[in-house]
Amino acid sequence: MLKIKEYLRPETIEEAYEMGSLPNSLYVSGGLIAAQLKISRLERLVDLKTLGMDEIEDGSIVKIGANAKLTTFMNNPILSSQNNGFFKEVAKDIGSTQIRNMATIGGSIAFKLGWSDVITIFMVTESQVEFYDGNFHKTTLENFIKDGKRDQIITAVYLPKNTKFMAFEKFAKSTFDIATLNLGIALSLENELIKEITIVVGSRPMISERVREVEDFLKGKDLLNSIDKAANLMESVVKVGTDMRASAEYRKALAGALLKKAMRRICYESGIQG
Amino acid sequence: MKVEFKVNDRKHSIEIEPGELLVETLRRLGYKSVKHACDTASCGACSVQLDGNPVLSCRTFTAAVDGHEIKTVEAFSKEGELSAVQKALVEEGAVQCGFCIPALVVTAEALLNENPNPTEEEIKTYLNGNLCRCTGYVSQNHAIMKAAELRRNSASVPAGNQGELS
Repeated sequence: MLKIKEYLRPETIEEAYEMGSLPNSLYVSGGLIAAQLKISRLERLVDLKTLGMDEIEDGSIVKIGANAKLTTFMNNPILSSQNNGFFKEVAKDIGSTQIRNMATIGGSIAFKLGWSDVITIFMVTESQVEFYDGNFHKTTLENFIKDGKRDQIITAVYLPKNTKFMAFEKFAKSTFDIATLNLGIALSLENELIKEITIVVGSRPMISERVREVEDFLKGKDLLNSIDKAANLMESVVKVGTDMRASAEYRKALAGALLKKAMRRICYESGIQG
Repeated sequence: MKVEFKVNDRKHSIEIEPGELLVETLRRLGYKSVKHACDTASCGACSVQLDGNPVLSCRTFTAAVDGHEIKTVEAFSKEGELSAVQKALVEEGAVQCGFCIPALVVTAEALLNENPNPTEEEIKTYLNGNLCRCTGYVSQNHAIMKAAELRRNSASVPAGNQGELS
């Protein structure tokens, strides 16, 4: 049990922000992270689920309400048919059934935690985040993460529609353990040459980050014949750290191995023969 | 603060602490099948259905379930008659120490409601958050396959003849 004084259920986003601006307040959506906090000075929780914001709307860009559960995201027919079923497949690897029924897209991003698979997945898709801090704003997820603020309320995530090939790989000690390292890649091809590419590494254990040196190296290259060189480059440039799960050296090796695996998966899916 | 919710179709209107967790409330109300175990969202022994979906009651604030419906394992047996899932678990030898079984039943019932004809792989994926340290899962997976078949057969038999299957 958390020793707090109030559990508040606002009716509007403005009211929620006002409540959350009071000292020692915390926003809660799925509740998974808030329920395990041991912050003695915490006084109130502000439940954002009362605001709705849980729909997934189709359009030229898919709008995902911040309170949409990971299960909703996984089973949504719009997303299931996009990018070769990438989103349905990767969502299955996040947590357990129970966790996916609780965790929300907004909550998985808002805490800006290093081990988030969700942040890596949305960053590699170059998604945008809409948030409220007294006014509504929209920015790329990458910029949202770089901004160290934690007092904004995420209202939606905007996922671009495209036909890029995507892969997400993670290494964890059990099926739903926190990743020791995760890696996402999205690319478009022109005559088997890489036209556009995004690579993100997360759970480093620091927060997810694009690896632009490897992206720049791969642009214009032949996908199949660049795998080993890209993996070697990844190992030398990726910024990783040491924690109880793994050493930095181990994570560097993992980053190279996961990049190889992801690139081979895309070769297979795009019909490029090795 | 005061909240109202249903547990196994029974309405509760109670006073709770603002930071109280659902597992604590349910056990206080007498639903002792809901286990307070790992407390790290890892084992699944505290699983209950919230509006039909399995969730971890050790990570759910009771205040958040105001107006919602909870189901624990007690919801699935009627007047002492075990559900198809429960019967199959017993028949397949999938119950040993029994600690994780109430939560396993809750999750398996949700699976079969969502997907009446799951493959073994789909069962494994759906139940990977319910840890069991006794059975090794093989007998549990067989039991759920068997229960799924029993439920499908039962659903396809005209109402007047359903007694023959029980």
